[in-house]
Amino acid sequence: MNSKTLIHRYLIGDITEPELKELELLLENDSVLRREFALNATIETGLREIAFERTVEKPIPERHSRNSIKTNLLVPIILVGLAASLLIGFTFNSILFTPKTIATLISSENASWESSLPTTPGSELVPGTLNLKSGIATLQFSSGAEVMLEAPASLILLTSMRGKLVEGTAVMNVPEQAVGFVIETPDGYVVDYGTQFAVRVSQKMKQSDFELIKGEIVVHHPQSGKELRLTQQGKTVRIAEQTLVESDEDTNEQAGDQPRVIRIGTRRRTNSVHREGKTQFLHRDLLSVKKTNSGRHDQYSFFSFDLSEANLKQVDSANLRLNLVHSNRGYAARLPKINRFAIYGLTNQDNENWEIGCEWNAAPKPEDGVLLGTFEIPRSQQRGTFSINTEQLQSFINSRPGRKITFILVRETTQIEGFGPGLTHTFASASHPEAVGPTLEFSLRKD
Amino acid sequence: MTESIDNSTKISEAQFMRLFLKHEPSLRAFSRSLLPDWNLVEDALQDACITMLEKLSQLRDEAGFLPWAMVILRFKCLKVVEKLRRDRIILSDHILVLIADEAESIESEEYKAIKDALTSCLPNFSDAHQELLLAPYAGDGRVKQIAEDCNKSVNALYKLLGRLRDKLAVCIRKQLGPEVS
Repeated sequence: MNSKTLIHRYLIGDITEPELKELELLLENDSVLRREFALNATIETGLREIAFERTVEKPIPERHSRNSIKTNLLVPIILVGLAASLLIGFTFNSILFTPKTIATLISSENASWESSLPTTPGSELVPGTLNLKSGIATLQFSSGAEVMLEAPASLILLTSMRGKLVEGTAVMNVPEQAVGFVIETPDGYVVDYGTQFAVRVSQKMKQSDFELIKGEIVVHHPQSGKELRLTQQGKTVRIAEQTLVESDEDTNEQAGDQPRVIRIGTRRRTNSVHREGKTQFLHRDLLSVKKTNSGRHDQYSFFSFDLSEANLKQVDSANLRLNLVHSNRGYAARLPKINRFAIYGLTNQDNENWEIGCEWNAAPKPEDGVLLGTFEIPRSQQRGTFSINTEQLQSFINSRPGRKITFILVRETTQIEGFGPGLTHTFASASHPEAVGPTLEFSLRKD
Repeated sequence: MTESIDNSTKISEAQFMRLFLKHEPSLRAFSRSLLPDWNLVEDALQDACITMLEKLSQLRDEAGFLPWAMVILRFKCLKVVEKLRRDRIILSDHILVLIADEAESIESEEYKAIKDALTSCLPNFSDAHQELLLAPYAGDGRVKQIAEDCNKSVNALYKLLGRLRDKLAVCIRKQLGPEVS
């Protein structure tokens, strides 16, 4: 076999032991061949770079004529132009059959989301569902109507003049040009006549509360055909058990609605592991989380709570809260714009007694548990509170009364091509000097 | 005894990032000559980058960046190879060091010349052959997928790929002239 073929076979990983011996002998005695080898590695690098550039430039597979340089240049230009027009919501939207933008996410205060729609401030939103897991977010519909969502909340964007609040609290501000804006709830709907009002929906209690802050609204109850017009500030209407009731009471102040809250911490039972055992990258104050394409630099964390610390017989809802703290390890530029994290609940009892300081092989892993929820963090954000409060979390807790439970935190998204090491996300552990470590928060019903 | 430190000669992190970015393709090619797959190359680069940042105070001026970076990277790559020996068919340390000496001499300007030559040589191949030449870098299983699409065995495609690579190397050599190749 000739020397060039041997080099090629070596570089693609297809060489046999005898061929390797032959290649070694040739390389040892021939500096020109060694140069050839190094050049081949360089050509490989160049080809890989071109392959990557083409992937970026040509998302739509198509055939070009061989010498058509103009066409090759035009394709990316056209694609960039189209992308730009889509971003600014230009009329090409309807031509390309893409859903029309009906709202914009204005701001996000410590917000974490579970949503298929984009969740970074400034994002233009098409019809769909937004699930706000924590924090506060403000959206503006194209009609001008503004909604401030308070977590936990779920809002379906229907049109620029219509939304549906499925769960949670929203404060609406409807300017004159958006008079007639409708907010539906599972129990009824409200038509706004230029005003500010609040809506609170509790699926558990099967009720919707509407409170007029300023102006005029009409609340409709389709099942009974009843409607109530509110014009007096502070007036509230509740739709519950198929009835529509007007009240002067401030629903926010009603003692029966105020949940009692119990919070428990990890009592320093937290740990992070590095796949290759590089403990210099780990710190007791931090929960380190990282995922790389090769897996070699992967890090993840786990922590446990002792449920015997709280009497949880009347749990209404559970919330697992984490505080993201600044990380100086790696570059955020190597991350995708949105990073997704997952929290698993450990179900494999063999791994329940993990030791603080244990290494990768002895650590509980996601496959030892069940997925309880996910949350997303934009790469631009390095601080904030993130939480999950899913039904899976609640049922995981409810099925383990009085026991020690372990959660496993991993990053699901990896890195993008680019310069330097990707950012390691760090969350506060219980020993962090400034931020609060993982916290389980239970809302209890008052009987 | 007093020790004076001339801060004016130190490279800042921002300068380092610019230098790394500029020379990253050469560093990647250098690693590829020592390591048998791309995942290992990316890991070694990442490790080396962290070490370079830690040892940045050792770097005196911008001109010294590439040789300095290659020393660190060479060490990282050989360390990776040490762990691989049990499971992979890989050249001996002695040969790898000889290759590293050659690879070190390929500087960023030369890498750029090779890349430009590649860009002008590729259109000499048919669309299907270009696709095959780039397939090993287009994601896992792309070569296998092409083999299935055109009813050929993966082995046959690798043989064809070898011939195409030879042809490409000839074209590149012609473009670069004798002083480089």
